Amino acid sequence: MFTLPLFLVFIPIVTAIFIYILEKKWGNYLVFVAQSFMSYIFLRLILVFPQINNQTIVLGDWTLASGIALKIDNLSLAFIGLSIFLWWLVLLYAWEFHGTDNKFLFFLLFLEGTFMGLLMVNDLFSFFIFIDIITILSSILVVYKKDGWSLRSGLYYLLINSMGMLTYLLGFMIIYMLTGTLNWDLATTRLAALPPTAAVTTAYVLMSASVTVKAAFFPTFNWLSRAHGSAPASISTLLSGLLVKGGLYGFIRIQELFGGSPLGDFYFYLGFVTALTGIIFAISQKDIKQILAFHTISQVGIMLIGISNIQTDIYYGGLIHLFNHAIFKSLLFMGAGVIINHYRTRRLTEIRGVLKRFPLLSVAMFVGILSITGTPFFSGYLGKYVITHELEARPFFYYLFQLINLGTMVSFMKFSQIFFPDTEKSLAFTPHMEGKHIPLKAQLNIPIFTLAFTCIFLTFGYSFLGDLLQAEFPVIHLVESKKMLQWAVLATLAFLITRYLIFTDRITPLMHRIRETKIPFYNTAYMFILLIATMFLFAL
Amino acid sequence: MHISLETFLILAIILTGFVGLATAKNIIRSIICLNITQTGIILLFLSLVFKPGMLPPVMPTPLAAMVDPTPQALVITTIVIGAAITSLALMMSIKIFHHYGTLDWNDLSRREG
Repeated sequence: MFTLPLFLVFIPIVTAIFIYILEKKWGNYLVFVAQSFMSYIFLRLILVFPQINNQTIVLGDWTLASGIALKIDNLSLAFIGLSIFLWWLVLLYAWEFHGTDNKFLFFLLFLEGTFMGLLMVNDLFSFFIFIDIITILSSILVVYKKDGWSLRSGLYYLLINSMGMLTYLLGFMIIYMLTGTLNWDLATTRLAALPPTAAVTTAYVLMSASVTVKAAFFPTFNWLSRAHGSAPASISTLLSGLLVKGGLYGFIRIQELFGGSPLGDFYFYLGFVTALTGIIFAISQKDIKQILAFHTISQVGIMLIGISNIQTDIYYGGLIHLFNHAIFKSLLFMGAGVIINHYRTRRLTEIRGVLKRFPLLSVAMFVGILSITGTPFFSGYLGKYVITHELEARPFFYYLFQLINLGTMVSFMKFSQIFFPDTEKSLAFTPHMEGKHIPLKAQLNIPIFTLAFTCIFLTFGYSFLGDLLQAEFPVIHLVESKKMLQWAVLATLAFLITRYLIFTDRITPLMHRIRETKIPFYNTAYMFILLIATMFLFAL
Repeated sequence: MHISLETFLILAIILTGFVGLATAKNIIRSIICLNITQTGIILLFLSLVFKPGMLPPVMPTPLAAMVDPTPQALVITTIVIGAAITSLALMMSIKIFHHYGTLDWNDLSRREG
């Protein structure tokens, strides 16, 4: 039996337990040893990949139909690479704040092991278990600071995600009754042979609805902004950069299980609604981490527009954007974490003079901001290029997509005011920052600059991603006068809107109202049930 | 597929749980409703795979006479995960009560900021 993938799950978990038991400062350095082994195994996997592609490993001597199965295909391989890379950077970054805290490192590494499991798992029930363990571990990491706000966000996160997974359990049960197997591949072939009865549709709706919670699609997006806004900086990075993608990964897998969606264009519309909601909330926020968190929601909407249709090229647009978003959103969250740590405030109106105090960090954050707004020659451009190219046949959605882009630009122009020079008002709030130039430590600089370089690297070397996924990416012209002109027009419009609408007091009451819109848990649960009902309506 | 009276009752339990989740204004109630839903789903699973006259899947029983053992193994795991989630949620709600002195979702949202 080929055992290499098993190590990816067990190395982090066993190391985490050792770190927890040892309680020594030198013991904490084991995380880097474990990471080095993981990277080595990943390289080995790439080398032997042609032989193990689509080969299923069943643990124990069980049959394929009922055993715990692992399988690596191109999508898993690309996700595994991304995860190991991001975990390296997050560990380096977290070392500054939590390097002596063995409990924190225990949860962080344990989470890595379970996330690897989620990426490789090939049976329906282990998928459920891994998602639930990830929910439990990440909610513990969200409440790690133990203040009131993070406790509330953590509980909200835990309850809403476990509620979502209950419908997965229902759907999975129907699949088991219909096909008599737990294995993902066997179930796929057996389901394809079945006629499209009401039972299959019910299972599809219930299972997809459950991953919409984990991936923060429209009605149940609310946990994301709370959890990502209140968690420690390194955890926000992981949550926004990677764990949300775990939900999207599950979404892609469930579409594959049923051989495509029977709901027609439902996810396409849902993607637009999600993106617009994210933008509207993001523009109205005053807390820099909340702005970034709401942007994750809007970008998830864009990815959903892409991956909603597996058969066409727009799928690759979503996939490219997914990988690029993981990089630049991690970069922005890490930068925001450093800024918040020094200014001791999170409010946009009180932070000024970042450019003067952290010139290098500002350059890196500009790369992130240019990427997320889809500027030509930065990584966010690629995914948006493919998606807009595919949308050109449908003018209404094409312009709606440009509106989403415009919204992203407006809210990042608003975000950019933290780089402005100090004002008397801002100094009144943060007097301890006056006249300081702050050099950053190497362990903060390394992850931030690695991410910034990756952003630029992925723009010009996106074929690297294509090789890893073994996909025929559509042709992307990096220099195209039409797109550049479009970008220039959008940027000018965004500048005018920011200058004459956002920075003045004209719409302050409206923004205040949107900001104060709080959706309690029971309303989210209610909307989740409505979502399931809507999906049933579309399936009819 | 024949749907018996038990199945209807169990579906009613699941529905009760979901309605409770959508209406409960208190954190403890939300957690209880989550458990009710989960219990309902487990019951549904067990009742669907149950066949009258079959024996429990303990080893001396001949294979042909025992019910399908897989669902039971799955259900036990589900219960364990449910217990972990419940205990973690209850622990967090105790901490929240110490911080804010309330467990009402609405009261908590008003104190945001």
